[in-house]
Amino acid sequence: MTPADREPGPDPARELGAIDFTALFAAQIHDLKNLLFLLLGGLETLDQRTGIGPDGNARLALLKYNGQLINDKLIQMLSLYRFNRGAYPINLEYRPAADLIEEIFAEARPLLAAKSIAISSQVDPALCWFYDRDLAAGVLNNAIHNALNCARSKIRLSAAEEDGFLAIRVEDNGPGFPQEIIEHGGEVKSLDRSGGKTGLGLYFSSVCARLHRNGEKSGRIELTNGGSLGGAMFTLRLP
Amino acid sequence: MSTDLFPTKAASQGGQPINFQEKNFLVIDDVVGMRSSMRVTISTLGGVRIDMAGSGIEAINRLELRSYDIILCDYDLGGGKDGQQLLEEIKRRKLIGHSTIFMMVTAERGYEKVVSAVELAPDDYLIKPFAGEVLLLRLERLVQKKAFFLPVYDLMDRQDYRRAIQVCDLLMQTPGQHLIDLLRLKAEICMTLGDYAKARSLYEQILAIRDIPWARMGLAKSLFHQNNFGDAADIFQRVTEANPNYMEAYDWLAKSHTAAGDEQAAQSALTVATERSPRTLHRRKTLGEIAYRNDDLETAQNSYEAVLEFGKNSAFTSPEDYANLSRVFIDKGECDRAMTIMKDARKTFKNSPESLLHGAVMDSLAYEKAGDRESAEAELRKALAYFDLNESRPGKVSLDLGRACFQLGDEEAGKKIVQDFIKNNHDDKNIHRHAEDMFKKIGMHDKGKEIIRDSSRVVVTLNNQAVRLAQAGDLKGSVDLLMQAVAEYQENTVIVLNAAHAILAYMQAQGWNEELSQAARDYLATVKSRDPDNRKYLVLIQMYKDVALQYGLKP
Repeated sequence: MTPADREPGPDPARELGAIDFTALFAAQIHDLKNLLFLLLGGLETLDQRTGIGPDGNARLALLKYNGQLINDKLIQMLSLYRFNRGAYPINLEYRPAADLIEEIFAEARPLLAAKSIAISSQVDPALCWFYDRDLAAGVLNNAIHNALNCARSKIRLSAAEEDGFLAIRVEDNGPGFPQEIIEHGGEVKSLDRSGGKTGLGLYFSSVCARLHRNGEKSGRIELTNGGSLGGAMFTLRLP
Repeated sequence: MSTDLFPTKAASQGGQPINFQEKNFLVIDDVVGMRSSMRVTISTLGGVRIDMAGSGIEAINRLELRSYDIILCDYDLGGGKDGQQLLEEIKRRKLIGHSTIFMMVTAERGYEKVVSAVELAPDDYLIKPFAGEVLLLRLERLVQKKAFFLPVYDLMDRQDYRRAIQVCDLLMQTPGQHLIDLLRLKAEICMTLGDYAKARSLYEQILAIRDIPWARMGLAKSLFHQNNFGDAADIFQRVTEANPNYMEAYDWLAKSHTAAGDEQAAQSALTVATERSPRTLHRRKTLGEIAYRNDDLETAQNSYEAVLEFGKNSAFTSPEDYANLSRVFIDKGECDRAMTIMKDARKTFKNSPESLLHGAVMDSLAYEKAGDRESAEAELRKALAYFDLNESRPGKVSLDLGRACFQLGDEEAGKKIVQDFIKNNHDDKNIHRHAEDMFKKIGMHDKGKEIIRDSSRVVVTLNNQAVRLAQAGDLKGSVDLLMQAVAEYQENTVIVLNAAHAILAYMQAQGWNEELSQAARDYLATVKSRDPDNRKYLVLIQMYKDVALQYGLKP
C-alpha cells in the first residue's frame, strides 16, 4: 500500500458533480455504436454458417432486429445531442429517392424472418431530391422497425413527389397508431401516455424532418391510419 | 416469408454487378476487432483480396507498394492523423487514382467531414454499424458514379482543364442525379483556372436551385477573388451564422476582413473559430500572426504556444513556428524565454540549417532587447552567414534579420535584405503587411512603407514594361526583359511565371524555339515545385500544350 492509499480520497459526490454527463454519454454512445458494429458483424458470421435451420434463422433475425432497435436509440440520442450543441451540419445532397429506399429496404430484409412479414416498395427511379441521407435513414429505419413490430404480414415502403415535397411512406397492415398519437402528431409530450414509451423516436423524427428546409418550407412527419394497407401510415415529408 | 417486389438494382439503374473477387481491398482501422469485422463484411460480398493497415503510416506504406480498388478507412485512427488528413495526404501524393473508391467509416457524422473541395472529400462515408447489404449498394453506385465522372477527372489529371469543362458541358445534357455535382465540379475547375466570373455564375445557378452552404462558400470565394471583399465577408459571415461548425467559413471570413484592411474583425472571426475547434494548427498560426500585428501579444503568445503544443508530435511545425513565439517574448521583454524557445527549435530540428538561421536571428534580437549589444552583434554576424548559406530563405526570417540589422545600426544591410525580400514577393499583400508591421514596431513606419513601396514598384515597373513591349508587338523584347528579371529575382514566382508566359506567347506567334521552350519548361517546373496548385501555373501548362500542338509537337 502506498501512503496515498491511506489518505481519504476526494469526495466522490463532488468529483462526480464536476462531470459533464451529457458530453460523457455522447462519447460513450460513440463507443457503443462501435461495439454494436462488432456484435452485428458477429451475427453475420453466424448467418453464413450452414445448418442453422429455419427456426435458427428466425431467432437470428430477431437478434438482429433487437440490435437494430438499440442502434435506433443510440442514433436518436446522439443526434439530438449534436443538434442541441449546434454540431450537426445538415448535409443536403441531391440524390435519387430510390437510393434511400433501396438502403432502407436492404437493411430491413435480414430482419423479416423474425416475424414472417413481407416488404414491398415503390419509387420512380428517376425521382431525385435534396435530402440528408443519414437523417432520413435514421427516421425511416425507425419507422420500419416500428412497423415490423405492429404489422400482421405486410409493410409497404414508397416515395413520391407530392405538392413540392418528397413524401416517403412506411405503411403496414397492423392495428394502426393509437388514437392519442394520431391526435397529437409528432408531439413528444403526448406520447408519454401511450404504452409507457418515451416517444423519443417520434420526437427525433419530427426534429429531423424540420431540419430539412427549403426557403420558407420545412419538412414534417405525419402519422395517420388507413393507407393502402389499412394499418398505420408514417409519412416523412421533405421540402 | 418475404416476397421481394423491389426492382433490382440492375433493372432500375442499369448497373453491372461487381465481381468483388477481383477487387483489391484495403481496410484502415486502428482497432484489430474492427478490422476483422470489416473483413467479414467484405467477404460476405465475395471479396477475398483484403489487406489491412492499423495506422495511417502503414496505410501509406501499403499504397506505395500496390494499388487498391476499394479502401475502407476509419475516421478515428487513434493518435496522429485522422482519416481525413490521411486521405488528403494520399490524394496530394497521388497514391490513389480517380477510379479508386475511398470510403470513410465513422461512428457518427461530425462537422469534421465538411470538406471544402470535392477533390479532397472521400467518395462516400458509412456510419457504424452498417450492414453488408448497404455497403454493397453504396459500392455499386460509386462504381457507376466514378464511370460517369471519369472522363472529366482524367482530363483534370492531365491538366487539360479547358477540355474538362467541355466534357462537363457534354455530360450536363443528360445530368440526371449528377446535375448538382456536375455544376459544382465545373465551378471548381473555373476557380482553378481563375475564371471567377464564370465560377460565380455557376454558384449562383446552384443557389437558385437550392440554398446549400458549400455553394454559398463558392460564391463568396469567387467574389473574394474578384476583390469584392465586402460582399464576400458578408456571405462568409452569414454562412458561419447559419452553420456554426463550418470551420472553413471562419478562415475565409478572416481572410476577407484582412484583405479589406479590418484586422480586428479578422481576429474576432478566428477567435470564434478557435474556440469551436481548438486543435487546428494552421488557424492558430494565422490567429497568432493577426494578433501580433494587432499588438495583442497575449493572444499571439497563446496561439503560437498552442501551435507548438498541438504540433509537438507531428511533422506540422517548422522552426518558423518557434521564431514566431520567440518574437512575441522579445516584444514582451521576456528575453530569456525567447532564447529558450529557439534552443528548443535547434534541438527539435537537430540543428538543421533553417533552425540555426532562425535561432541566430532571434537570439540576436533577444540580446539586443536585453541590452547586450555585443552578443547581439555576434549572433547577427552568425545569422548573416547562415542567411547567405541557406538556399531557401523561408518565410519571415528576412524580416527578423532585417529588423536585427536596423536595430543594431546596420541600416544598409537591413534595407538590402528587406528590399530583396519584397522584390521577390512584390505582389504578396500578406508579406507586405508583415513587413510594414515590423517597421512599425521598430519605429520606422514611414521609412519602412517607403522601402516596401519602392521595392515593390521596381518589379511592378519592370513587369509593366515587359507587358508594354509585348502589346507593342515586340514579343522578343518582352521575353528578354523577363528572362533577365528571372535571373535577378529567382524567388519571385510571379516573374518566373510571366517569363514563361512571354516565351509561350512569343513562340505562339513566331514559331517553336527549342532553347526557349526549355527555359519555359524549367520555369514551370520551378513553380510546380514551390506551389503546385498555383492557378497561373495551371493555365500556362495548358498553354504550353496548346503551343506544342500548334507546331505538331507532342507536349
